[in-house]
Amino acid sequence: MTYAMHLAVYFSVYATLALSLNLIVGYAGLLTLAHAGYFALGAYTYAIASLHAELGLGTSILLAASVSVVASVLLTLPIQRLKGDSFVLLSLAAQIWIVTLLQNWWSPDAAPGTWRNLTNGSFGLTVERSPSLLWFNLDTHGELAFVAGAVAVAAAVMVSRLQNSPWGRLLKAARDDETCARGLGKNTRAAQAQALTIGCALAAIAGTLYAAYVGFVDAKTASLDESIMMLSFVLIGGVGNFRGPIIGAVALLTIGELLRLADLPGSTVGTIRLLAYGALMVVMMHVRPQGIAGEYRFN
Amino acid sequence: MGGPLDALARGVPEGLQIAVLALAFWITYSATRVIHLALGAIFVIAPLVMSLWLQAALSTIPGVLISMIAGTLISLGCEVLNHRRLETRRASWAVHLASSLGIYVSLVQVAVLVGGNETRQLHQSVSEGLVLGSTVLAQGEVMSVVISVAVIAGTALWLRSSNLALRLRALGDNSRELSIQGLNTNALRCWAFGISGLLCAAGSLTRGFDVGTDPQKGLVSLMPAMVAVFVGKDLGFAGVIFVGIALGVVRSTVVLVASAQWQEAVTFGVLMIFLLTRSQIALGTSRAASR
Repeated sequence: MTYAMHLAVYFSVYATLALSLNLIVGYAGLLTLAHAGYFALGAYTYAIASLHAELGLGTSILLAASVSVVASVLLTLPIQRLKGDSFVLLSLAAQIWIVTLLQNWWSPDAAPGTWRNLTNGSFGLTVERSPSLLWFNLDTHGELAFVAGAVAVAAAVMVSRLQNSPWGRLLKAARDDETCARGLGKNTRAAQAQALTIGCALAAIAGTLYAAYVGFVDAKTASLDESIMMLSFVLIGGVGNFRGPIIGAVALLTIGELLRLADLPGSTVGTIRLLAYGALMVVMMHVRPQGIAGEYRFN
Repeated sequence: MGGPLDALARGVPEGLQIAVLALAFWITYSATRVIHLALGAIFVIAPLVMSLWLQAALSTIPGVLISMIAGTLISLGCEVLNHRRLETRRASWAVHLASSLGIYVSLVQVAVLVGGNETRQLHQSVSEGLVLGSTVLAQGEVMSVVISVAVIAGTALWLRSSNLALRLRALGDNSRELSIQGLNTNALRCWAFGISGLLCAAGSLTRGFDVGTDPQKGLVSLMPAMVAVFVGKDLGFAGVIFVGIALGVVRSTVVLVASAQWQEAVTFGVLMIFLLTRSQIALGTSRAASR
């Protein structure tokens, strides 16, 4: 039962993450490699908040989303000038800057979580108390799985409603033929910037839940490898609709869990898992560029 | 120690290594518009092959040749098995990029399974090579400078004198017209990828002999080269080399002033400043603005 709840938490966190990335890649048509950075910002915000204040999970989620929205300026401001491969480079730059900040905002002389040692560098931050929501302490895996599941469902409903709204149609129009959409008087860049901001905030919320569950966060959470793994969720599952990212998250988490059943050392399992993700990305680009259940082809 | 001369003495060898990798990336990008991220995997695999060769107590020169052939073949494989097929279906740049990223991830994991996760140092000796004022360059650094300069000079000569280089430039400008003229564009693409793999293997070996290569940092090591290409490409070969060397000096200055952990952030800062202001600055102004 505990293992099932563990899987439920992981699935909910990654489904939220995949849905947020789908908003950016699938609807706005912007290929980003910075998503792990925003996920990590959420995780760090929760960890730092829990070190200082008796903040509940709900307040931490709001705080993490706000921090991520502010940090998303790194991507949204230059979007007026950068498109295509230049935007990929911009996202790579944002990712590098976030990781560098997380690795370097530390001092051996100060306590972790203080202004001088905010992130504790490569040692990371440990969350010692269990998360709480309103008047409840989320002590068991089941309770946290319920909250994470509720957040994932809320994210899914939100993305689904956005998809069918005029704003969602504007995003799709901008993705498919930006010149035409702009010719019709639509502010496509503003819509893309909004999608980026919402996507980054959702990633931070997923990061908060991750930190609340795992109880530890370090700069590796924001690494480029993590961003590539997140991208593989949506590229394999499919983008441009609501089902694809969820299917991608389920499929890739299942591969990871099945590999754990094999009698192999943990590091080898991790290596084979990444090998499988990479190979699947290549195969999908050849066989189904829109992913298993996606609607939008990068073509 | 720690002065401008030191930054220059440490930065130029690193900059030359970046320039060699940038050439590898630039040749594919300028000829085919493919962002060949799988070069990051070649950067990991070529030193691994060399290291396994040396572990078997075999001589160095054949090992270097075999590592470079391995790099070339992997890059060719990327074109023949992946990019050419995608190109036939007129896949977008994003599909090429995503598939190249997938190849990179897979190949690096294969390299980790074969050779482990530890950093591979191909040259164990730290004997003194050259003294420049207060700066002492190790033998590995001097060797890396000599090899990098030779590779860059060889590539420059090839670009100036060879008909193939001219055709590769034409391929980048208008591949359809080249095809109509009766030239085999598939073969030209293979040349671009093959040369790119060869140069990347050469760059990774110089890095491996100098400071060693980490299997998990293939793409990270390729990033400064990508930055050099995107900043310097409008000025062609000279621009890419110049920016590569300048980035090396900037990165070594960052190490002296702050710490090595800020290198990538500063490198990408340079790229962003360039990308956001490129129509206003001197480097490639007219062509960049007109595009």
